[in-house]
Amino acid sequence: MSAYLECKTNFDDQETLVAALQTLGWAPGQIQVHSTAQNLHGYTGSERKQTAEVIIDRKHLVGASNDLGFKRQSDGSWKMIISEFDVRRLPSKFPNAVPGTSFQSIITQAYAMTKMEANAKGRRLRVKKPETVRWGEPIKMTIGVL
Amino acid sequence: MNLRYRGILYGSQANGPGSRTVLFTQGCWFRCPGCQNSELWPLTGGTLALPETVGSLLLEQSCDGWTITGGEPLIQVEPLLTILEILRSEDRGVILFTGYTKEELGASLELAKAVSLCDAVVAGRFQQREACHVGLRGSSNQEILCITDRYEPEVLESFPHFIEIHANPPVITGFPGGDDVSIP
Repeated sequence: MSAYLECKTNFDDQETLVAALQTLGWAPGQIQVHSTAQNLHGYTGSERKQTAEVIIDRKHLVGASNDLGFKRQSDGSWKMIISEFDVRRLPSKFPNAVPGTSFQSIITQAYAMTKMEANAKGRRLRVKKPETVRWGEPIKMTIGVL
Repeated sequence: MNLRYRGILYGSQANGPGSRTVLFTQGCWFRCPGCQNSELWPLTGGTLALPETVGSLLLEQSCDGWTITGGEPLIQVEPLLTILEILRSEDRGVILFTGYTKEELGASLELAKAVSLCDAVVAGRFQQREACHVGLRGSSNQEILCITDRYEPEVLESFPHFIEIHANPPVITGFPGGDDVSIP
């Protein structure tokens, strides 16, 4: 049988999460990583009640965005905090995504790809992946012995 | 009788030649050590649906052919026969993965009928120590049976191993490599 592994939509590793965000085009300096959760801010700059440890400031998203956050859960996983506005608008930041692909789908794919690549390299396996990814379409990767 | 399945992937190139719609059934009693799909072993879970409904879903998007895998598809042979008959009305290829061996398939009228409705069948339990790098199989002991002449045996025997990360549903599928290479 070929594999059928369902990707978790809650992320389980901070390092992979940050790397996945970089894969999506955010520079390391644009991704805030806090040891304690910080308040997120809305598009007007007002403080929101939600907090997160990993934050991308709204100025690095799309116009009139709110901060994007990832909050550590009690089980160690990370939950994305995204405003309704950004659920609709953030996919427009990715012109190479298949139209209609949600940001949740985009980051889930990026996270899975980053995690597979990191784990394979950690096991000294060869990884071949596409130079450009069209988010929303299947991403083809080859993993083999070096 | 309903079919219990875990998911349907559209546009997969990792499960056979061309762009394929792939049905993953839920439930397997072979439970081969090293199987990538242990989440598909339980005979409960997944989605329960009429085979006609599943057939409609499989016809929903254009494809070059279908791959039916699991889990063990043939433990639900009755609804699977209905699905295979629906797919057979289209002039496209059907590939079935099963843990049953060629001999076991031939020993049961129902299983043999299911096989007769496919273009190719990959038969046999997965053997971790015989995991392989190439060919439409997980381990070298598994036989690729060409039932019709739709697929050239050489194409299936040389099918490259790779994986795909799908977005919707978010699923990793395919064959990761060989030897001790598994999906990390």
